[in-house]
Amino acid sequence: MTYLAALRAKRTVLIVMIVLTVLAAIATYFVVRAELRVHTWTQHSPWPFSALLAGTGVIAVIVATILGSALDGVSRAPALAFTRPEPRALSALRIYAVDAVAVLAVWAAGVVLAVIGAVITRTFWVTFGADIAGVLFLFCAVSLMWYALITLTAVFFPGRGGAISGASWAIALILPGLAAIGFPQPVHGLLQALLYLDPMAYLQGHAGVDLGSSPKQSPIDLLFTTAPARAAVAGAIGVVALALATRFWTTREVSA
Amino acid sequence: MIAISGLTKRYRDVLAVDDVTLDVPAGSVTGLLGRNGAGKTTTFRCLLGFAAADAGTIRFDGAPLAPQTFAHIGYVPERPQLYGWMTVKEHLEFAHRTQPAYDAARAAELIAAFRLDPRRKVRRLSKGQQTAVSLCLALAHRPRILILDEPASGLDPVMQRVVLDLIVDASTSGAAILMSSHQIGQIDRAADRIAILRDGRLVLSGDTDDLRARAKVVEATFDDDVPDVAALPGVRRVERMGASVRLYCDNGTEALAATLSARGARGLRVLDRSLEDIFLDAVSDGEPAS
Repeated sequence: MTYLAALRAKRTVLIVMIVLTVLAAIATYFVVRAELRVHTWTQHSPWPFSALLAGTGVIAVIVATILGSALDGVSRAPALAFTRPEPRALSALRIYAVDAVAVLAVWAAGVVLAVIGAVITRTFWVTFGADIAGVLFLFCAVSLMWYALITLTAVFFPGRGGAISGASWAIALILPGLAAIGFPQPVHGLLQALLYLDPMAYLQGHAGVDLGSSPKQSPIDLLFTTAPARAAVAGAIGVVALALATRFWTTREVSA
Repeated sequence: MIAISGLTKRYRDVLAVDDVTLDVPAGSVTGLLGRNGAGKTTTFRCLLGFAAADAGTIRFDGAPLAPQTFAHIGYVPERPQLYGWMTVKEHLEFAHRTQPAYDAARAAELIAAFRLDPRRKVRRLSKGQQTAVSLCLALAHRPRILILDEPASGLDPVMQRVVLDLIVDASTSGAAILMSSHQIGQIDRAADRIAILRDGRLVLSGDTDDLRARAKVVEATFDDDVPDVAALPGVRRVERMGASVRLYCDNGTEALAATLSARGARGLRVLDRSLEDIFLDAVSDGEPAS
C-alpha cells in the first residue's frame, strides 16, 4: 500500500512543485526587473524565519487538503485495495505516513525555493527567533487537522473525495466571516462551534495569517492565544478525526 | 477449499442471499449461475469481506477470512476495478509489493498472453483489456483460491478461450475456483460443478455430469395438433415448435415416451439436457409451463 500511496502523493507533489517553481521564477523575474534588487547585504530587509515558515506552510496545508482524499481514492478500486494480505488499518496508516512525508517535503521545498529567491533577488535576509517551533507545530497540526477532517468526511461520501477537498477551502474561508455576523441564536452558536473545526480559525492572527473578515472574538482567539496551544487543540482534533476515519474505513461495506 | 454454510445477507427489505450452503473443493471449478439480482455478486462480496454476512460462516481451507488469507486468493470483479491514472506496469508492481507469493515470470507470461502493453495507462485500455489486467493481477501470485465474477466479460472470443484455459489450468493445479458468468457456454466449458441461485436461494448444485445424466429431454412430433402434455408426470417445462414438442423432465423418461407414443407421437427421441436447459429449468421453477 505504501507504493500506491507514494505514487499518488508523488503526482500531487510533482504538480504542486511545478506550479511553485513557475510562480517563484516569475516572481523573481519581476523583482529583478523592477530593480528592487539591492547591492549590499546591509540594505536587506530582515525576515523572521517563522514568517518564512508560515508563508510556505500554507503550501503544506494546501497539499494536505489535496491528499486528504487519499483513502477515498484508494477505495475506488476495492478489488485491489481491500484484497491485500494486510489489515486495512495498517494500509490506512501506511497511506497517512506517506502523505505526511509528502506534505513535509513540499513544505521544505517551499522554504528552499523562498531562500533561493531571496538569494537571487537579495531582497531580504532571514532572522531566527524563538517562535519557530510554535509556528512549525501550528502548521503541522493544522495540516493534520484539515487532512483528517477531509479524510473522515470522504469516508462517508465515497467517490467524492476531490469535491470534498475543494469545498473544504470554501467552507474554511467563509465560516469565520459567517461566524462574525450577528445571526440570531442558535445559528450564531452553531457557527461559533463550527469554528473549532475550521483550520483557518487556528491560523488567524498567527504567523502573518490575516483573513480580514475573521471575527475578533472567535472562541479560538479567546481560549487559545498562543501558537502551541492552538497546535495542541488542532492536533488533537486531527488525531481523533483520523482515528474515526480509519475505524469507519476499515469496517464499512464496499461494492464488489 | 471454500466452505460456505448458511450464508445469509439482507439489505433492508431485500434478502439478497438466503441460507446458502456450498462447498467449492480444491481442484474444481464451480460455476455460480443465476439471473441478474439472484445474489451472485453479494455472495462474492461476503466471501471477500466486502460485506458482512448477517448469518452463516465462510471458511477458506478451514479458517475464516483474515487479512493473510488474501495471500492465497485471486479475485476478478464483475467490472474492472483499477486505478485509471496508473499504468499496467505500476499495477503489477503494486501487486508485487503487496503479495508475498507474487511470481514476476508468471505475470510476464500473462501480460504476453493477453497482449497487454505494460506502459499504457489503464484508463486508456478497453474494458476487455482492463479485465485482462484484473486477471493478470488475480493470477500472478498463483492463488489457491480464485473468485471470479464474470472473468471473461468484455473479452473477444480468442481471449475468452485464453481465460477459460487459464481457469482450467489453475484448477488442474489444485486451485478451488468459484466463478460466475451469464454465458452458460463458458461455465459449460470450464466448470465441473455448478450452483444455481434464484432469488438469493441455492436451488440447485452438484456435479455437472451428474446433473446432465439426471435431466433429460423428450422430443416428439405429432401429425395433428399437439395434445396437452404439460400436466404429464415428471414434466418440468414444455417447448412447442409447430407440430413438435420438447418436454424437459428429471426422470421417468421411458414412461413419458410410452405415454406420448400412445397419444400418437412419432419420431420420439430422448436427449441429454444441456447446461442451459438445466439452468433455465432451475431459475424458471414455479412459473407455468408453456
